[in-house]
Amino acid sequence: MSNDAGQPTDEAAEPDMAHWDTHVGIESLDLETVKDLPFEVAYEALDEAVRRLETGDLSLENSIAIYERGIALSARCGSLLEAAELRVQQVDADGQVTGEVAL
Amino acid sequence: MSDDFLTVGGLTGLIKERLEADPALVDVWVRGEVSESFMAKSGHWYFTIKDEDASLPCVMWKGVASRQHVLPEGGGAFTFHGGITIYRRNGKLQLQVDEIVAEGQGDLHARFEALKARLLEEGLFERARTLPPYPRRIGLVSSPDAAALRDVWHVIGRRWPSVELLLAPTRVQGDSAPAEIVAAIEAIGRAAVDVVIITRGGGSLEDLWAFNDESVARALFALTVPTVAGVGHETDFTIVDFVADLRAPTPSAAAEVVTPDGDELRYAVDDLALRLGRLAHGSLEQSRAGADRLAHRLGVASPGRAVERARAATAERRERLRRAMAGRLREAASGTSAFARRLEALSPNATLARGYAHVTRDPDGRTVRGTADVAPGTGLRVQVADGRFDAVVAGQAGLFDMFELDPNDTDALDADAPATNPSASDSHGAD
Repeated sequence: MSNDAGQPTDEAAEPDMAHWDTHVGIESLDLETVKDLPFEVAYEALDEAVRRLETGDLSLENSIAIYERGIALSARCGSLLEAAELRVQQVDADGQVTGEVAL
Repeated sequence: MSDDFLTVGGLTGLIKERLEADPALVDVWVRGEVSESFMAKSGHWYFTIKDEDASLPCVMWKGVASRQHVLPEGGGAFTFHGGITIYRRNGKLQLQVDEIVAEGQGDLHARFEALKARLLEEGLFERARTLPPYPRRIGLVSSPDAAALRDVWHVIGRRWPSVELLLAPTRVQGDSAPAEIVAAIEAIGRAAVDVVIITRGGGSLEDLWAFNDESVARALFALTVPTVAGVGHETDFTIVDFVADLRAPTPSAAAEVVTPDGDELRYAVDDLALRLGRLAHGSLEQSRAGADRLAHRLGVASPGRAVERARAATAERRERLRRAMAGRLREAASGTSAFARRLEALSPNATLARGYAHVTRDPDGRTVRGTADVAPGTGLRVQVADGRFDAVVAGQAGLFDMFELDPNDTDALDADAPATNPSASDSHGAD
């Protein structure tokens, strides 16, 4: 599920799309950026955190760091899945949001 | 005189058989002007159609007539569909009509087919891009007050509620509809969405006509993101359906194909979080056990006069280790640390309280993820919000012992007592 994480097409890509570099390691994931991760990235990182802990062979320091990030990542995933009621926003001719649509 | 003759009924029967075996005659479109039309008391219609060269008797049964937009009144020029047959009573050849298409309607149909052929030739129907599996912004081209919009909103809200849903409102029928739909498509194209749904609820052929407009088709084709059409009912096909990357049979179905299954993802995330907690705890216990072993070794390995010094060193070392870990963990467990709150949030109870159960196999403790993990007779341990019970796949019950993560458990690391079994299940019961 996490491997074919879809990129929106170039035109739709947002500049703030935070990517976590798998080569750096989960410990280096900045906790602050977790809050802005798109679902597929957060999910993949969470999966990685679990796999890292499963391999064992980690210092206490690393275990805690990975665990802490895992918690933050699962919270991020959860918040994306449990968001409040879906809102519909209207756009104008320029594609700019002008307000909410009452349903 | 030959004995080899047919009855009249036999002959007309033979003619009827021949006529009705000819595919060109049983399924035929013919154009003509109606004359000598009347409706019998039975509700059936009898009339003649003609052009400059010929005339042909026709019949249209009551049931068929009730479904037509137009009736074969005298003087009307229509296109008729039906099959040729022979009425045996009088030997009259006639067209048994099952559909009448008025002039304008016929034009619509012809225009639709012509446009479809042209756009197909041009390659406008070849789009089949992959939809983004986890869209963050979904664009919607729809009437702002249509039932279709509510359907889409409802389905997306259930499956993928954190998405941004952007609506480019437009009228979807009437003379101004095509131009408005084009403008709405262009607007949504500027809104940096990941995928676009173009939708309209069911309606008559005329109601859906704006979705057969060439300019609408071209505007949709020009979008750089994948598009999904959900126009009308399952049986309605419009040009827009062919141009879109994916055609969904209804507006609700369109909403479904552009969103991931939230329930499945919630389960997957909860499962990972649960495993994470168990693993992290196991890792902490290991570290603690290692420290205790070290302290113990220091204690027993110091003979004679060195005992005192070693004891001191041991105590000092032990104290340092204890502080290092306890400090870190106490800090984490204190109210000031988000770590503690996260631990709390991670407690399986929070997940279980939402109605999930965590099911493991009794023999090996492995999480049951699917039917393939069990067989009749497999023992199961089922953890639910208010407790736990054992089950057997169609069978008996026993005791269940499942580890629970508890933030208070970190206090145990502060204690000077020897290590306890890390998997002790009653760690939760102490508080």
